[in-house]
Amino acid sequence: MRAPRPWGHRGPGTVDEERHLRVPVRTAYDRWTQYESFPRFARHVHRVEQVRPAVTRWFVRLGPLRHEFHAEVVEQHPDTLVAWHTLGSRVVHEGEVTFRATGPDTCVVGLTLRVPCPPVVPRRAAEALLRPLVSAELDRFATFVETVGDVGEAWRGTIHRGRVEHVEKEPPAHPGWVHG
Amino acid sequence: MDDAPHDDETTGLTVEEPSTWAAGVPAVRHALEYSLEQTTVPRTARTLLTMNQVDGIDCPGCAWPDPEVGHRSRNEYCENGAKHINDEATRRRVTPEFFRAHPVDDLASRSDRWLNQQGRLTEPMVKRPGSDHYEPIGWNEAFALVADELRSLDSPDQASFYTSGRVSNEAAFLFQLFARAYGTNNLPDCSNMCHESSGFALHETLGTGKGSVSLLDLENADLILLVGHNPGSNHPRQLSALETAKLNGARIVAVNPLPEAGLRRFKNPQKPRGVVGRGTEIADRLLQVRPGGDLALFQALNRMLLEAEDRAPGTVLDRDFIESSTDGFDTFAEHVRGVDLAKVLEETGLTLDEIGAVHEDVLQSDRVVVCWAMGLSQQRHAVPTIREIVNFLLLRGNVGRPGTGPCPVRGHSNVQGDRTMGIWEQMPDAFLDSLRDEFGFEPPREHGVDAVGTIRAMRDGEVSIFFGLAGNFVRAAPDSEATEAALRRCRLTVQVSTKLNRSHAVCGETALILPTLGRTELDVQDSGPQFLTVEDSMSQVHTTRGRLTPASPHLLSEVAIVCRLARATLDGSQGIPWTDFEADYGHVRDRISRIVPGFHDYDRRVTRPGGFTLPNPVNEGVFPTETGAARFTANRGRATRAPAGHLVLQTLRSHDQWNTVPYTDDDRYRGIHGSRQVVMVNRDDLLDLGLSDGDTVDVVGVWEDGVDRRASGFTVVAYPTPRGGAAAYYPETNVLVPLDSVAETSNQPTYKDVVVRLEKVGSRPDRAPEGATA
Repeated sequence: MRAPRPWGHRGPGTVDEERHLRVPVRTAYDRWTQYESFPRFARHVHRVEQVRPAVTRWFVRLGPLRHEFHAEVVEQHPDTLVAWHTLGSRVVHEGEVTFRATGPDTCVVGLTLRVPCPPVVPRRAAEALLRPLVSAELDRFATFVETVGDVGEAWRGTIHRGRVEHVEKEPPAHPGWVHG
Repeated sequence: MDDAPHDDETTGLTVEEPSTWAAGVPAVRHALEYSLEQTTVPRTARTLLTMNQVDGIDCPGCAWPDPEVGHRSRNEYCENGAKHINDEATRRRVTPEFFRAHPVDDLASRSDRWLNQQGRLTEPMVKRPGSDHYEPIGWNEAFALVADELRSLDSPDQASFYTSGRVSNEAAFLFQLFARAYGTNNLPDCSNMCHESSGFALHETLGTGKGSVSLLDLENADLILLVGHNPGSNHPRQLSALETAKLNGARIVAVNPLPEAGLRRFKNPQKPRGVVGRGTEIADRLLQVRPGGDLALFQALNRMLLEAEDRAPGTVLDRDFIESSTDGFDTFAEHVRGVDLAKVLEETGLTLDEIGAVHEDVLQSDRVVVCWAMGLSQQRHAVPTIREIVNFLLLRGNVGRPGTGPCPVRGHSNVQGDRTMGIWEQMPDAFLDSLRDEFGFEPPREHGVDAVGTIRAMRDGEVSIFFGLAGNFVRAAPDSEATEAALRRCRLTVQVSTKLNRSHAVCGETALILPTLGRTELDVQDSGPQFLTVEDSMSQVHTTRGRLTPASPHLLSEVAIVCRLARATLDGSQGIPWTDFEADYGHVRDRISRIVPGFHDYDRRVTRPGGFTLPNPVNEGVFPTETGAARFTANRGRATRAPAGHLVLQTLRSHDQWNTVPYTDDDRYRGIHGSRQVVMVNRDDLLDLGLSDGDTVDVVGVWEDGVDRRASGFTVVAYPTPRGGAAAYYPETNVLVPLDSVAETSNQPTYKDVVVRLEKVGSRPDRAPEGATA
């Protein structure tokens, strides 16, 4: 069976960050879920491909290092929550971002990221290394969304336990006849 | 080319122990040996190093998808793909002089291997009525001949237009457009004979005729069931994906009558552990199911899941999913709870412990993929079996999530794309309406004939013109003698081909061979060099570009042949710009983008590195079935039980074979060398039948029509098949597959489900010492 997430007995390094934004919660949520536009604000994200509604492919750069991974969105609820984890065994992490309206034009966005700690690195040290990175990217998101504003047309479907629960129930355009 | 074999030589049968692993260094050696036998080092390098690369040649060997861009190996091909591509790139040529030396009767007496080894066809040839020789014919005269014959028919339905899965999207789209503008839906294809059952079962239950699985899913599954297929020989690059899945922690259960080497261990020749180490164990469990026992197996697994849920409610089934997204559960559950496990054991030949162990694997797996191929789809109850697999997946919500889903593994490289392009005798009205609106003619609405229907219609004189766009119909089809007799009744047979095959030798009163470019070759038209596009087994649509100088200056592309034929045949009233289509294939893709759903902006998107992936509604939470929900079904059907003294035969390919074309007489993994005239039988069955390993027998088909179907002079090889089952090579034993023995609903011939008896006629030649290894 698939091995559990390799957090080890020490558990994952966890970073929590929160930002108050001067935009409606819908704007913040819609902007966050436009994954392909992440390189517009995220310094370390080079490119993102939306493979399927629940699967994205990420190309990230950390200094001289290049990483690529697929992420599965396991929960997505409009204006409330996006939770994901990576697929495969090369780049492992999981995270969630929460959205909470604090007024008609303000909201709070909270980001939690969990990563495995390298064998010789204490958990707190790993978290200390990760926190500034996450914090800076969340700052850039806040600036971006407050500057750019509404998305226009956004996907507003729901994902539960990794499965898309489509809003319109309309199939995508596809050659749907019998294929021998 | 003077090194083509002059005689049909065989070396004599030797038998060794079957191999327990696939690929490794021997695969590289065999691939290079065959490639260099066919062509030069520089041409081999040009073909192999561009195979399955961005802007390279899509391997015509199989439909397995390519890894994502950036993750492809420099050598992104397998032994069989390398052989196949260089079989096409051969320097051998079939010239008019060859045809002068070999009358049609002589060609008909030759083996498939000998015909293929003569090399590439170079000029259009015609066999005129009463003649026993092909002779050269100019292209214009050839098109005029076909056009005159087509126009002379009382009805367009007296012609049938067959497509093989090598044909590109562009050529396939134009071919169906031509046939429908001409006035018929008679568009049989090789899908009719390989995965038609999968398409019908999936369309009914999930609302899509294709699998929903990608490489990403396969590599991230917890459990993969490989059912009724042999990846080591028929889609070897799948072994790399299975290896990755294993390294990611997946378990694999293989369900197959024969213990194929590729199901057991893979020595990846591109990794050190595959070159000097043991390689990767593929199957954690190998269930040697009796042929046709798969339905019973999955019903047993489904019953066990229901009972496990009864014991621990809310822990086994995905109740949320079942309630929100499916229908038919209660009827299905009632039916499957009544499955008699004693009968399951009889049907499958398995033990309860074996099935129970798989059940435990399933319980411990959050993500399950089921792969299958023709071991399922060519059974009489193939459609119910595949529907039962869908039940199995639905029970625990194993569809529409990453790492889950159904995965029919298709063989021919563009067989899925050709169907997407409209090659089907039953295309829905919406597609035909789009054709009408785009091109301004009214397509015929009455369904046409499929492959089996075409043979029957030719036999009965209802079809008198057969046009084959690629392929080797006469050898791919069942009931060889009936098919050959049917083709010989035709007024005209036309074959668009790269190489010689038996379909040129078994022909109508008038016969044409129209030689065409291969995938490996440059295709230059009036607007400049062209590329073509294909769709693989996982719905990735991408380009393929040949690089080699064409085998002959007289060759036309398949697109050009279809366009010129259409111009010669149709009166032009439809206003279809055939000349523009031939000059620039981008014009064809523009039209496809307006007609085929999912192909918007086709010409631009397909030239992105890696092309694009067609969406699958199942992965977007939508099941476009009749009810709008994924459908549980109650399935009935029993494996064929041979009467006493008989066996159930499955036909299969050797390792050294591509579709109907054997490259040699060897089957390395099964340890059989020097002859394909063998029938593999369980040693205990041989005892019961009064036969010995090495006896010579006639394999005689038994069917309700009483016709004597016989494959003569086969050597019996004791082999670890399940009791009651036997195996022999395709296409040599297609003669035993009755034309009317077809799968329910899909009308697919039952190549894996043939009742035979063995009639002893002599005793055997030399064989290797017992216990010798491969």
